[in-house]
This record gives sequence, structure tokens and C-alpha cells, in this order.
Amino acid sequence: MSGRGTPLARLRGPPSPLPRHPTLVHALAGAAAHPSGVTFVDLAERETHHPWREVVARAARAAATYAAWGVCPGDRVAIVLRTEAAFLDAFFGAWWAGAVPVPLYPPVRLGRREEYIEGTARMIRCSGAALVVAGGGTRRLLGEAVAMARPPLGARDAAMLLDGTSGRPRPEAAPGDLGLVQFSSGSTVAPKPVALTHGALQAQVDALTVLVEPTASDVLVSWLPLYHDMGLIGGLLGAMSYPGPLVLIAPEHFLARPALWPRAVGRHRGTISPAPSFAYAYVADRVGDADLAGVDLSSWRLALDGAEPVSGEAMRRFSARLAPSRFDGRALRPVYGLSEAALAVTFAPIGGRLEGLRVDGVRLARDGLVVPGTREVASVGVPLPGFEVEVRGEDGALLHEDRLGRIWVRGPSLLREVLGDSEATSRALVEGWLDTGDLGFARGGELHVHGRAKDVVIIRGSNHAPEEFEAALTGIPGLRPGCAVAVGYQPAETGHETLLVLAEVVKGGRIDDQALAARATLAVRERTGVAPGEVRLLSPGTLPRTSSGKLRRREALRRQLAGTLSAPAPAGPLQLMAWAARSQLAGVLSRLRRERR
Amino acid sequence: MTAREAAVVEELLRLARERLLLDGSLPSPAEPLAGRLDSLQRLTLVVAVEDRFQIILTDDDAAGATTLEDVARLVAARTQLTAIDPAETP
Repeated sequence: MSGRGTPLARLRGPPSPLPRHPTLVHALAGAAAHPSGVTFVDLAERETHHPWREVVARAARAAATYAAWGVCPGDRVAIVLRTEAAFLDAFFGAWWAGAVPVPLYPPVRLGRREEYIEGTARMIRCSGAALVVAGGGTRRLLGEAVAMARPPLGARDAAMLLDGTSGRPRPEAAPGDLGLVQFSSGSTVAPKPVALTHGALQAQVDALTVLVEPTASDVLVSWLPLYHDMGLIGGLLGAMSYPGPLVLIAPEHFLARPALWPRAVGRHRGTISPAPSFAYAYVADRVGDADLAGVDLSSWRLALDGAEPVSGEAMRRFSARLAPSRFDGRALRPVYGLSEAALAVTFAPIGGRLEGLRVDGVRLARDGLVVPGTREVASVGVPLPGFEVEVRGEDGALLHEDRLGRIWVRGPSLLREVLGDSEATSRALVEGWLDTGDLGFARGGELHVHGRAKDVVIIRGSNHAPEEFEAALTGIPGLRPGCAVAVGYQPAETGHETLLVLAEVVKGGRIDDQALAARATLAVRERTGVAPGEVRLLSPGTLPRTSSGKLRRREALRRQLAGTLSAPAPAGPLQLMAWAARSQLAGVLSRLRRERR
Repeated sequence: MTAREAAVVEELLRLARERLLLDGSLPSPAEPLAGRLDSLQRLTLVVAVEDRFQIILTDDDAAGATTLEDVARLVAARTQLTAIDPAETP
């Protein structure tokens, strides 16, 4: 299946297009001449429209206010706003002032107040923000974060950005200037400040433009958060630079009323609208027929699916559910990317294959080999123009196709650095290549992503550190302290990334203790807000450890998927042979039983 | 809890059943919601409450509320009694 005869896992996109503008700040100035603009849709489907001309004029006024507040070119400005017009003022105003916007996620509501304050203070500090701009309703909450982080220019209410009456002329932005600091998605991994230049942002948007081939009739509809890559760069900046109409829904409104999304696409004759897999499944499960009455989705030509592991199952369910509304399943196209590459790296070709490759999950986990089986892995396509992808082994050597390895990326929109962390920068960027930390394989010139080399757990588009789930288990009687791992994986049945907790019980404990598993589930949900899909109890000593005694999460997951995570005793070669023989024997026995029936 | 707040709690439970599709395992009024609902469910509940009672809970308000009782107090303080009558919901 591999080696001689199989091509190398080196994928190359077409050449980079020429930049359409020197920077997106130039594009913003140009957008003012276009008749389209941004429409905000609220929970009751009331709409507010702001032509690009107005967006640009407001940015110029906001820039004057920033300058009056003491913001200098090159300063970072942290922005804590929801999907609202003030976000555009704060973001584009910062660019117009020559400053660098740093969008931060607004508070998750109801609880976790202390964690939010601490996390936000940390991000303000490590992004080096000089100023924090926020909405009036978060003043008390952010006040505490600001008091901890103490940005030199303090915090200001975004409503005051338009107090100035005169605008500023467009600044001289250069491609090499810092254009954006974005944190990886999610709230719980200590997110790293990814620094992107204006040149990188422009290159990413240009590459997307080549693939999307926008026309004058295109309308982009998005409910994705504006504070990270897919909604910000793919949505807002993409529409602004083209320029064309953009329809925005707040993510919390989409969650409360998912029908808002397809209904907005129908009403506005939307053509392009991206989302992660969970959202396609969410709509398929929760939108009723009454909500879709009279909704025509035939205009939707690009339904990009990315930002978390792509689920073929979710795409098929969505496609079937919305077919009566004339949604064309061929619009669904998986994408792969990461914030360190600005956004997208690969893009599935047009063609609408909603079926992924079916591989043997056990062989893939155990041997890193792609052989036919029942587990679905979606193709995320081929590299964007200007991008290259390689799948490499642990030793750094380029692998052949059909071999699972680490995904490396080179291209024109990679991060310049992890701000203020040269060690993290040199781990991420090696000789111009980005180590994505994701695992995957190439097949037929297309990339397939399958799991991660780093331990981050992605649930519904949010990154989580495994330590946080594991810490929630400390102090539960019956569990061995410090002997649990949390890992993310996609069970074949659901297609969603799910949290799996593997926890050892104390000596003499029972691994079928349902009450104990339920207590562990509750503790994790209480502490982290994420409910584990499964808590599996293990005998003491089952989890794999390094020679220094550290738990090996990836290895634990690999063994779990390969069905070999059941051996309580330390393993020597003889025992390994004995297990192998036993599992073969079990296979023979079950075959015999089937044949006898 | 006042009678009004108790009426709001009843309405919140109804919203949790209908909007969050929770049944059987509804949180009790004084129980921390963070232990029963994940972060998306909590966010969704706040928006459903705002929608139902036609009020806006600021992030400052919402971050300080950890139980259904807390939410009910916020809602009761901002609405007219008549707006809490469950009979008028569509």
C-alpha cells in the first residue's frame, strides 16, 4: 500500500495570483466606491444596512478618535465586540489609524466570569495591546481584566469612536507591516497571539478570490464570529476586498435560532456561506419545516465546511434536509486551514463529493497505513494558489501517499511570528514551513486530515487544552489522582469531534462502575462547560506513559482506537506477542461463531 | 424569590425545554447552570430569554448570573408583570 510506486505526499497549489491591492487598507479605500455594503440581521430578522462608503467614512472618523486617544501607528488595539456595526468602526478604524487590530472573543454569557476575566487579561497583555475598545455592556466585566493587564491607554467605549466629526486621510500601509493579531479559536487553550502582516492577509484573500471566482451577483452570508479567521478574514475581509455585499448574523443569534442562517441566504439570494461541520448538523437537526416555508436556497453555490474536522455525515444530513428548499449538495466543499496560515490552506475541488474515503480506522491508528475499511475520512482537497503541503514522518522525512504523518505547510500567508514568543515561533516555523500539528495523509493528490499531533481538543469549533478536562477529575473518590487523559476524536457514528476521557480507577476499583463514570462526566461538564461523549474507566496502570512517567495522550487514543487499550500489566515483547495471538484468536473464534450460525 | 421571579423561573424552564431541547434533566432554580448546561446552551438560553422578554441582558449582567434564580431576578427587574404571562407566548 505504500513505498515504491506510490507518489510522495507533496501537494502543490497553482501559482500565487498577483496581489489585487498592495494591502487590504488600500482595498478598504477602494470599497467606498462600490454600491454594496454590510447588512446586519438581528434575531427578529430586522435588518440594518451600511454601504461600504459609510463603513469607510466611519473608519476614517474612528481613526481620528483613536489618534486623539493617543493611539500611534503600529500600536495594537484590542477589540472586544460582538457582531455589530461598532466592530467595523473599531477594526477598520484601527487600520485607518495605522494601528493593528487584535480582536478578542466577547464573554460567554452566564457564568465562568473569573476565567473570562483572567483569560482576557492574559490576551491583552501578551498581544501588547495599548488600548482596549469594548461595548458599554461589558464595562464592569472588562474593567477587571483591564485593571489586571493595564494597557497604557486604558479602555474605551466603542460608541465614542464616532465622536470625532472629521476623518483622517488613508494611512500609508505597507505589505510588511503588521496587519492583524489573531488568537486561535476557542477559549481554553492558552491561545497564542498569531501575528500576520498586511502582505499575508492580502495574499490569503487573493488566493481565496482565485478559488471562489466571485462575480457581481455574489452575496456572502455569515454568522461566524468576527473575532477569528473564518468569519473575519474569509467573511468580512473577503467581501470588503472584492468588494461585494455581506450579510452578517451574530453567532449567538444563529445558535438560538438556527433557521436565521438559511432564511438569510434565501432572502438575500446568498451565494457563498461558510461554517464548521457542527453547524450543518445543527441546522439539519433543529430547523423545522415552517421556518423553511418559501425559502429558496438555489442561489447558494459555495457552502464551505471547515474550522473543525469535516464530517461527511453532517454534510449529507444538511444536504438532504435542505434539498426541498432547492439547496444543491454540490455547493458543500470541505476546506482545511488554521489561524497560523491566516485561514485556508486547502480547498476541495468543485464536484460535490459528499462521501469521504472509507479507511480502516484501526490500521490507520495502529500502523499509520491507509487501507480500505469503514471509517470515513473526508478529503479537504488541494492546496490554495501559492501553497504547498507536505506530509512528513516523525523524523521529518517526506512520506509517500497513503501514510499517516504530520502536515506541514508553506505559503504566502503564514504568520510572521507568535508575538513575543520566539521559542513558539521557531517551533511553528521551520525553514519557511509551518508545522500545523495536524495529522493526515495524501491520496490521489488530495489532503485528508485525521487527528492532531498536538493534544488540543476541538469541540464545536473551540480549542480546549486537555489538561483542563483532566484537572476537573482530581479529587473524585475512586479515580486514581493524576491518572486520566482527555482526548478528542471523531466516532464513526456521529462524525462530530467528541471528548473522550480515559481514567484509571484506584486499586481494587471496578472499571464498570457506572456511578463513578457519571460523576466524572458531571465534574468535567461543570468545570469546563463541555460534556464528555464517553468516560472510559481503566484498571490502574493501563494508560501509556513516557519513561519519565508522563501520560501519553496520543498513544492512549491510538491504542483505544486500535482496540489495544486494555492491558493492565507492563508490556514486554512476550506479552505483546501473547496479546496479538489472543486478538487473532478472538477474531478466529468470532468468525467461527458467525459461520456456525 | 418573589412570586414574579418564580413565574419567570417557570417561563425559563419552558424556554429551556423548547429552545435547548432539554427534557427531564432541567436545572433546579438555585443550581449553578454551568454544571448543567454547556457554554453554547448557556449562550443560547440568554438569547432566548432576551427574545422572549424583549430585554437586553448586558454581558456584565449575564456574567454575574449563575443560576436560573439569578436570571429570573434580572428579568423581573426589567419587565412589566404582564409580560411574564406564559399564556401570551406564541
